[in-house]
Amino acid sequence: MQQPTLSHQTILHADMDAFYASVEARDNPELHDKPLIVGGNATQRGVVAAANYIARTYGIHSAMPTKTALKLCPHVMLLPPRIKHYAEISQHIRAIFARFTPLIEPLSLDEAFLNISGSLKLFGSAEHIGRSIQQAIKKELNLPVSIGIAPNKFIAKIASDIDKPHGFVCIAAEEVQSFLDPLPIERIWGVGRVTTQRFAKANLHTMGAVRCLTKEAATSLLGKHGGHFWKLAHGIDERPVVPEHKAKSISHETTFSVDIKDREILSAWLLDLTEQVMRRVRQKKFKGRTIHLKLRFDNFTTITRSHTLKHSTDVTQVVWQAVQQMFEKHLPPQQSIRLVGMGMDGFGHVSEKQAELFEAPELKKQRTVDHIVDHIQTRFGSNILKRGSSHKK
Amino acid sequence: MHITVPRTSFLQHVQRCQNIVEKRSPNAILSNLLLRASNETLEIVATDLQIGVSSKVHIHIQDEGEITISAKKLFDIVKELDVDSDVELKTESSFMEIKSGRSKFRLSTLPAIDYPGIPEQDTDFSIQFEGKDLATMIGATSFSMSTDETRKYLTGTLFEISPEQGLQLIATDGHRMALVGTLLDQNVEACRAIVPRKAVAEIKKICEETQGQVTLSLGKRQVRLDAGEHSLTSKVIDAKFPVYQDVIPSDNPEEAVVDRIRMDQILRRSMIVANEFTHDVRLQFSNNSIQVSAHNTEQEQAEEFVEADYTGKDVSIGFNGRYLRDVLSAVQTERVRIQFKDELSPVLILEDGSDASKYVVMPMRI
Repeated sequence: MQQPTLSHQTILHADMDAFYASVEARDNPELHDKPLIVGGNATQRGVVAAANYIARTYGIHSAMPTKTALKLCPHVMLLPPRIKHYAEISQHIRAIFARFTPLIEPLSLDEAFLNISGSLKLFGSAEHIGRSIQQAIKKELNLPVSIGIAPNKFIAKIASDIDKPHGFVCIAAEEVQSFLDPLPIERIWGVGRVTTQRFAKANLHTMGAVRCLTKEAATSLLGKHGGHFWKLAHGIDERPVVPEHKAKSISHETTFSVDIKDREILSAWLLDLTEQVMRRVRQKKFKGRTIHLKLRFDNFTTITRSHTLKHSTDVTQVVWQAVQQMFEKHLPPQQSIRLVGMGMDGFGHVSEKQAELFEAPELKKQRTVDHIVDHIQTRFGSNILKRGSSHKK
Repeated sequence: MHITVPRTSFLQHVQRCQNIVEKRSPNAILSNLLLRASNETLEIVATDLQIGVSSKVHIHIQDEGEITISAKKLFDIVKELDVDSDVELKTESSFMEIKSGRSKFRLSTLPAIDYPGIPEQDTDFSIQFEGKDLATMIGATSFSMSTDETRKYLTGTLFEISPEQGLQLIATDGHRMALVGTLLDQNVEACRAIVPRKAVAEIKKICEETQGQVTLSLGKRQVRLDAGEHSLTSKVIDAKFPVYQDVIPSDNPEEAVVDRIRMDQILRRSMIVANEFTHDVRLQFSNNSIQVSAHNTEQEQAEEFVEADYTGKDVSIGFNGRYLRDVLSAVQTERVRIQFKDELSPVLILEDGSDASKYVVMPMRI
């Protein structure tokens, strides 16, 4: 049997525990022991962005419609999200990470991978670094975080999740197999309901069972992704930690707790994601050319489609038109959707501040709109101002 | 074919032609030069299918004929031969023998019949022009051409002839624009063509090496330059050039006059700490001075004053410092005039005492 090798990196995954809810509970100590959710309004088809651990005991989880959450626990405290506030705290958290390594790959406001391989000589053991980060976040921000440390991203992410909240799990290279083997295969990224059934049919319930297959058997039993699952079951994940300033693409995606069929609602979500992505593109003074659309259907098949624009742009409206067209073209009628995402790459380094000589007046107007929206969102938070149709979601 | 040619002039002609040969062409014969010997003349031809160059040299011919041979190998060999020697070229079945002094080479060839050659002249109108002057005009504008292949129409220089303006060259990348013009003392018809970047560079080189006049011909599909022994034919970019007249400001109320070299030195120094991608610098115009400042994301800063003839209101304008430096290198006069309205409107830079060259630079929001 082929014996894959493991690379010896030390990767730390830090995941804030119920981040938005924890921030709200910290800022309002009287809510400390009450069920609490942060999310959109129940009457406007809002969803739960975060639920504290007390709320979770009622069966509430994030991405659930707020309406459902209120049904499960009528006395739950519902607070509107304060994204700007969370973003500021997130900056502070990143500053704490940066004390230990420059190789930080933030996944969102509350989650990041750190490559601490090069920091061990300077700061001591991986465990020491992890504990220091956890303590600093507790002491300086009074917020809980779970930390997973492992030889790669895949295992580090599982490790941070396995003992939440306040988790601290450190997996050494030689412990990888004994850690992974007993885990249910749902732990493998990308394994959804359909694939789980496929595994179950083949009588594969744990990572260990997948590991014991040959690579060829995994491929023939589990289809084209079999080789990928087999690698993960062996604890192999070669993706590097990519610091944000080197990121080659900017993207956002969102998973729904219930599959959505209503095209208008999906379109509203996509517009929201497009606005977020374009705002980041402009913040980085990038202009991109290639736009990506990602759709995951209710049967867990995922499609990604790309479109390359004639010119690089940072104008939301231009990108949104392209996204809309791709969405209309690639979404079959009556198809339920589990996840939507959009992203942009193909960046050049033309400053967004450089004025154009021959700009069409319409584009000039759109650019001014973006400029004003960015300014307002930076000052008052991203929920204060949105394009008309993204309200429908 | 059997010819003998002095090494020095042969090298010069081969070099002229091999410049435009694509180094890695999928079509092998396009990596070759065509050599054609007849009527006591050797003609060397090169083409990349967009541009064709032909160079003629008077020589002694033993046997007439034509053949194609690797441009790079021929150039590399001739370059290394003794300076004062003669070069003898003789075809032997499918090879060419190159002899000079005690050196002897044998290179493979491809038949001339398969060579695409240069298209027939297809232009509408010609002017005669001093070669060195045309080279100068190209040098003063070509830096503004775009390299963005998605905006094809900006990747060349517009050559425009009109009875009112004479010959004008205009180049722009959408953020800045360079225009130089000169009146002509001949009767002309209005015509224009967007000449692609590579052809512009080759035309400039040929003009620089030419003593006296050249003939520039423009057509709907083709531009052609005849300069002594050399001629160049290029396809033009078939697209609409933006209405450049609309973006040349005509009523900028403020004007500052500043020493060109001094301004350039200050920009060069300031840009050491400017953002390495966007090169943004700020020019603060106030009474009798311009303050140049720059800073980067690491909070490093530069700041310097330069004296200027300026009595207008205080205005602060951001620029890509590179764009300003390009203009200052293109301009010939000791002092330059910078005309502006406000921090976001197009800025016009002119030579002191002449409006023949116009440089428009769009500001950066700061």
